[in-house]
Amino acid sequence: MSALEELKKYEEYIYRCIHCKTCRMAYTDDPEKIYPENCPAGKKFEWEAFYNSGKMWILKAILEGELDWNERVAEIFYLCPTCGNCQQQCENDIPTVEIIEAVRAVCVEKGLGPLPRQKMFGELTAKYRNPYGEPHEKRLDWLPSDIRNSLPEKADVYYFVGCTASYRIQNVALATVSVLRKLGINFTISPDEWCCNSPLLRTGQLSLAKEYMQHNIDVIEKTGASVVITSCAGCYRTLKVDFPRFVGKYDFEVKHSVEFIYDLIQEGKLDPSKFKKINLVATYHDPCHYGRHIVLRMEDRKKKEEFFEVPRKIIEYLGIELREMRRIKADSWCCGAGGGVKAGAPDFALETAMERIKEALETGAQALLSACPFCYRNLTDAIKAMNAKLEFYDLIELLDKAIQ
Amino acid sequence: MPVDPKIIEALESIVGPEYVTTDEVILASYVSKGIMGLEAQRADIVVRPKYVEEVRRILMLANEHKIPVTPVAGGLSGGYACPTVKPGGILLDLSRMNRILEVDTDARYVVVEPGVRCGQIWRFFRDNYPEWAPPIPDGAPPAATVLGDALERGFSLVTSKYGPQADLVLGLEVVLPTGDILRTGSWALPGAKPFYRWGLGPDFTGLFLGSQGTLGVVTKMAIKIVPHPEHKDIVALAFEDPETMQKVTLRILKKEVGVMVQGGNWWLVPTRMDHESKLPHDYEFWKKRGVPKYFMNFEIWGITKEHLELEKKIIDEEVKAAKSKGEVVDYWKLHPRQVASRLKKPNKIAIPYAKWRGAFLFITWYLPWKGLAEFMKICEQKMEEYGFAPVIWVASIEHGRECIGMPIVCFNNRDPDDIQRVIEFNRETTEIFLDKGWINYRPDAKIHAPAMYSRAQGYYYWLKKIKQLFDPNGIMHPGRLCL
Ligand SMILES: Cc1cc2nc3c(=O)[nH]c(=O)nc-3n(C[C@H](O)[C@H](O)[C@H](O)COP(=O)(O)OP(=O)(O)OC[C@H]3O[C@@H](n4cnc5c(N)ncnc54)[C@H](O)[C@@H]3O)c2cc1C
Ligand code: SF4
Ligand code: SF4
Repeated sequence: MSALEELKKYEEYIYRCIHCKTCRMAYTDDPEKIYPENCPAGKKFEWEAFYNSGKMWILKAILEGELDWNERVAEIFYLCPTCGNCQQQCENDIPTVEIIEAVRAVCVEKGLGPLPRQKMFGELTAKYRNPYGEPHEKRLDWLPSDIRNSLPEKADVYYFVGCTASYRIQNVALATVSVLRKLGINFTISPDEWCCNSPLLRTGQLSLAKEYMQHNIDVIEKTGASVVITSCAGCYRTLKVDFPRFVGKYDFEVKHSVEFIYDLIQEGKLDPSKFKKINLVATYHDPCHYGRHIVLRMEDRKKKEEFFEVPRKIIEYLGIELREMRRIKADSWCCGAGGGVKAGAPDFALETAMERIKEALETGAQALLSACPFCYRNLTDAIKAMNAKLEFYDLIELLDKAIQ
Repeated sequence: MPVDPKIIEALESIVGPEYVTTDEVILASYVSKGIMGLEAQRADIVVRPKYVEEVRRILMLANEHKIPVTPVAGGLSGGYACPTVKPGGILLDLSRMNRILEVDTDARYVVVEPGVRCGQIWRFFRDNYPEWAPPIPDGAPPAATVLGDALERGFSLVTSKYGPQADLVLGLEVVLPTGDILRTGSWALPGAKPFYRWGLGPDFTGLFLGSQGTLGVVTKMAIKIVPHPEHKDIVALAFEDPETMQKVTLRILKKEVGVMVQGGNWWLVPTRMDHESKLPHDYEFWKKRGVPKYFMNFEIWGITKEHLELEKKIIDEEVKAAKSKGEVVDYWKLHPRQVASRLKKPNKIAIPYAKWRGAFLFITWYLPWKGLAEFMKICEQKMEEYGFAPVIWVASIEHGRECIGMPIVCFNNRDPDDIQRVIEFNRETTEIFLDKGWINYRPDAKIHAPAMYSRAQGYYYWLKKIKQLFDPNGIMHPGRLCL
């Protein structure tokens, strides 16, 4: 099926848009928490076209033959971190993220996309199996050689490290391994893991998707693991949501590392009262891919609430004083890095992250916490750019400190 | 239509180049059809001023070159803030003018610019003046603006007590196409506060309320705020037929109970839940789930708990009295979540009607309360005749002095036949309702305005005269009023 035919499948939804503009706000349930601005693309570029509501009406014009596909259409659809706030807010159940991604695939098909730097990471991924263009054989270089050499072929748990933690934010990967070892988890990692394809899927570059996904499934299944842990919210979303979409069912359960620890506690296998308490006043940033993008696919209201409580419970177990920002959980303000924006429009990504840092600072917290190495990169870039007095930790780093 | 580069340059020099565009993709993104009307055209150029002086200079330029201007505040009126006819001309996007300029909790008003959205002002009041509520529309999404809604004479969260939004307006600042700035109400006196609507002699304010942007650009509005007590509840009554609903509700309303009293028929429930193919269409199914055939929700606010209880007691006495007369009325016991959802302001309640068939149209009428049952019956019958789910919403205005009634026509906007049926339904019911002396609120250009003004030609004649006076070159868009 061509990308255009795939997009046409969404026609019914595109036409459902009543142009109510609710999708620019942060307002899931509680009017007391309403926040008038929660669309990073619209906030940055201001014109109606950049908000999701405008995007839907651009598509209507195209479908009705009143507007042609062109580079400007592509640009507008690419300058968006696909944070999913619009989909979260839309009461007409318009799958906006899927639509934006389907439009990007059409743009690729028509030679109008992706943005130049995104194209580059597509090429790098094809060549090196990761979008950073790092040598594939160095994927496990971050891991001390004694551990690397002792990784079993078969294990109960597979740790899917992801490209960002493998090549850039390695402290997250190291902390994860350290925690797993301290807990005596029978886990393994493969040097032959490939990019999960998230950056390519998000930018409409679909040609590698099936091959890469199937490869990763094969690698994981070879280990016999029944549980896969991810550090990266993007990998988490892709394995959980996109793998089944592109290559069908697989035979393991996918958990975020934070979720994995939380489940151990719930199952009585880990006693949080034994955690070394962390003396910190902190706030927590919900990554879009380990947040909204997942709950959007849940029917049960209670399950959604529980999902957002997982990192918060962990923070409580760690003895940290949590000071919430205004836009949290399903209404979270995006870090700005997703959807290919960090590579394609780095200034926009940074500006979006800076707004998050400002919000974090308003809480009076000394640290900002999150659970994604990609958010980590962008948010710490913003902290540096602003010279802000704010520490940053991935939850797994703090768990590593707390678990003896 | 291509815009003269000299005009673009002139506009850029007024607001800055980053706030002027002729980009066809952006122009397409502003189009909106549905909710209130089916016609909208693409503008030729969008300009986004921030200051009154910029608005003034834009209008003077447009006036000089006879370029049409359409003002848009929130743009939530389903295309009423889009040009109706070609050339589309300038779309004056006022969203950057989004300051809340003054709050006076003694004289009890707030002064807003056109771009102040309901979500923004609600947030602002919760943070700074939690004891006061700004008059945001009751069911409009949070991106609607206070000013746009009041210009439309909409219904607010307290309309059942205080009247339509227009009744809360104390004064306006309007930039006329000639560049003159007109202030209305007590604001007209230099240095005076906007505390008194009726100002310096005959009142100009009303001329602009309902004018759909056809006479000038409103750049500031002073509008009343109301006490926002902590104690709130919903009392919902269930009825078997609209006649009893009309009678019993009016008796309660005459005791001046409730800030927002609204209801309708059971069809309001399924049509916002999912696609028509996925849900049962027969009432028996919904009855088993506790949905009454007809219902009226009384949103009541109490300054104290006792006050709230007193309001409930008044309702209860009327319910008992009705029952003793043999009238069929009962309480609809709502789940706490249903109560909370009805109390939410601003809310998203009216958005999902697009799920049923893909799109919807609110066709809204004002009528005396005593016409409610007849209105509902006609709508139900005609909607079924035309193949639409008979979804009808009604509400009380100022304690039932008037009723606002609204068939929600859920239709398929990808099917030309369905669209044609909407038009025919609208045309036929318009004639019926006008015959009865009922009035369309937010008239549209193809059906309501021609039908209404052909019956009230004298009024239309004077409206035209006023339009000529304020807008001698006819640059302000004709709205849906054909002005
Ligand atoms: C789902 C839904 C539910 C709704 N529920 C309600 C409700 O409960 N109550 C209610 O009252 N309405 C309701 N509405 C209608 C809608 O919210 C209002 O019509 C709208 O809010 C008007 O405000 P706006 O800023 O969006 O106006 P716009 O769409 O921007 O403009 C409305 C009209 O005023 C003109 N105009 C705008 N700004 C100016 C200006 N500064 N000077 C001169 N003319 C101007 C425009 O040209 C247009 O004709 C609902 C709409 C939707 C989509
Ligand atoms: S996408 Fe949904 S929330 Fe956004 S404008 Fe359209 S209908 Fe409203
Ligand atoms: S995905 Fe996020 S940034 Fe993109 S249009 Fe939706 S809300 Fe805006």
